Amino acid sequence: MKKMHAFGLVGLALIIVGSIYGLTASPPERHMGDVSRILYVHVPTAWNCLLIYLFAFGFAIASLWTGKQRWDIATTAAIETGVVLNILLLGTGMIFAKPTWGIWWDWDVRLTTSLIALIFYAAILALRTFIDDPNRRATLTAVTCIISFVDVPLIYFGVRWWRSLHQIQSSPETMAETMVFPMRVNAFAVLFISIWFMLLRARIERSKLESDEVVEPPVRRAMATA
Amino acid sequence: MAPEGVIIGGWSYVIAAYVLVGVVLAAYAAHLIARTRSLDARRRRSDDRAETSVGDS
Repeated sequence: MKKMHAFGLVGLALIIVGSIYGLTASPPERHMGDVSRILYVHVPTAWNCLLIYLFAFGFAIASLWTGKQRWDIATTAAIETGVVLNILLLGTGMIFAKPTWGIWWDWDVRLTTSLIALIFYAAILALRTFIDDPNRRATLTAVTCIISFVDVPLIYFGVRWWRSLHQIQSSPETMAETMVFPMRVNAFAVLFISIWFMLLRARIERSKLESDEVVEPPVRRAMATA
Repeated sequence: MAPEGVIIGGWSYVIAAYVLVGVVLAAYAAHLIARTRSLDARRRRSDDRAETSVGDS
């Protein structure tokens, strides 16, 4: 348990360092000015959101392939963490869009595909609550997770494939070192925090399944005899 | 006079973005920790009950 919290503590320390550096030491961007500092939280949440959805995709394949409950638990934990990051990437993106584009929202390819991902993955979590049979729930979760992952490459590459209001990806070669540093530190911070979230969420899911297994048979027996 | 095409100010947006990230991450972490603790407490109670019933029999 303590090892699990170490991920959260490392993530917290890194995000404090990255954010303080991004807000104070990093220079304002030539055109966007101080508003560019939003990118030090927006981009790391976006990168990690897509990475966590990739993890969920891998876990879902493992869940279907092996039929083992631990992969279903990992898939659920990754999906829920991805949804939290998806909310953050959309929220910070909208806050960034207002001063730079002049609007909070546009049905641009990247924004739209990001919103579709949020709806799909949140729907999977909602769907799970309606299914009592653990095997059926695991299969449906894995299948819907694999189908939903089709949207993830569209989020990443969509800005290159179609005309988009959203800018294409930057690289360290196109950014000043003083801007790359807070971006990288915050990216690792969000990664560590995400791993911590997934471990905690997996533990909760495991405990829930164990308590269902222990509590349900006597309850069902009692209901049957009543 | 600021040159054309350059955004001046905007700190309120910057603060809003950082506050949003901080609040959402902290709220989700608190939710997960609270659920973990409540499930642990529930498991301890059921373990205690199981031990008591074994002791009775």
